[in-house]
Amino acid sequence: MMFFIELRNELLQNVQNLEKEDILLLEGKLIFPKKDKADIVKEYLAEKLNGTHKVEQTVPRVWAHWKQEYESELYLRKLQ
Amino acid sequence: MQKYKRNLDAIDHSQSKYENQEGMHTHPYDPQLLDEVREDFFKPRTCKEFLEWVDTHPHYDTVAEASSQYIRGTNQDEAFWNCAEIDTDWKSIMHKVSGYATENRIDEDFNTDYTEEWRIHDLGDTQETFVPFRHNSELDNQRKHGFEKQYQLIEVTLTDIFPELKAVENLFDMQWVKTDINYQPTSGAFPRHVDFLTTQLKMAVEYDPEIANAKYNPLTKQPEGWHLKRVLVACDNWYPGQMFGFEEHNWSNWTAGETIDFSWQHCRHFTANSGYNARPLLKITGLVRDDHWLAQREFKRFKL
Repeated sequence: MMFFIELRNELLQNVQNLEKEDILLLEGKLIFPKKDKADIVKEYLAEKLNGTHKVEQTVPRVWAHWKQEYESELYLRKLQ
Repeated sequence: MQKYKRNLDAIDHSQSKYENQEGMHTHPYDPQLLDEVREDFFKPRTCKEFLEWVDTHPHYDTVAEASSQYIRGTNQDEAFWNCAEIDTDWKSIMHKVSGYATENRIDEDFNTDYTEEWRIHDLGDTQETFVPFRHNSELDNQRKHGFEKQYQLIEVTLTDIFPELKAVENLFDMQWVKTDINYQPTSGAFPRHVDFLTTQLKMAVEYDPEIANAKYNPLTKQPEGWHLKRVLVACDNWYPGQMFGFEEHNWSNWTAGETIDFSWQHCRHFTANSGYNARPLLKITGLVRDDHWLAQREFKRFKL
């Protein structure tokens, strides 16, 4: 199984200018305070998972009880 | 059944305080808060230390959510997988289970309020050697969202009512094993969650110093050197309306004897019975070593 903390460590090592706080997890989706960070992670994941998964990018709903706002989220869709 | 609510105010929570507790129990959980709780969860602990930490934690529901590392898009066979097929007289077993349910008014008196466990059978003296675990914040959170009836547990291991099912339990050769019938009457629904299997771990920690002092691995959520396993055995064929989900995957159309293993640690799972037949699953939980066939992800066929 792909674990979030392992995936995040991989991204931190391989994607330039990405910090730990740039990428968080919410209910199986990667969620980003800044869209530009999501964009470069999307590019990395699309290449890594080419042929097995589609990387979906959406705008998350931001809830009043959250401490900060989020501009983008990514999730994977397994290709049949 | 006597109502049971833990007096958590009487416990020192200083080790589990977070700077900002606003929105702590509100869905969807704050991603930043989850990251903070996840870091706390990953601090090195022995199994005994971990149990003391989580058992008294005022935000158990948030810890559980933070402990999940699931990424959407994970293959179905990593969420749940068939591990065994058990050929036995399920028809007569179901006759007995249904008779027991009728006799004890399990369907009619379906109630899962703050009780020690959602159990039907009075365990009497044997209760002393069994430590139930159901955390206030988990139940509070479920009830806040309208989930008031989840499922009932019918005891197998500690009673002599279902020797046929104890024989099924023995097939899996687990240590510190505990088996119940997870009986979900119609209208029952258990919202999405991940587990810690704390009841089994607690039993092992209380009686086995090796496990008590073993390192708790927060990634696998089990003692180093051990696999905590929970398998589910269908006691009856699937009826339309019975739902068992594992994030974006679903287990359905099962036949009696079909047995699955699953990622209880990371893959949020949920059940509902929107059909018109009760849904009994045998739930077998225990510890195995690395060389056990379940840990090796082998598939076995049994005949009893």
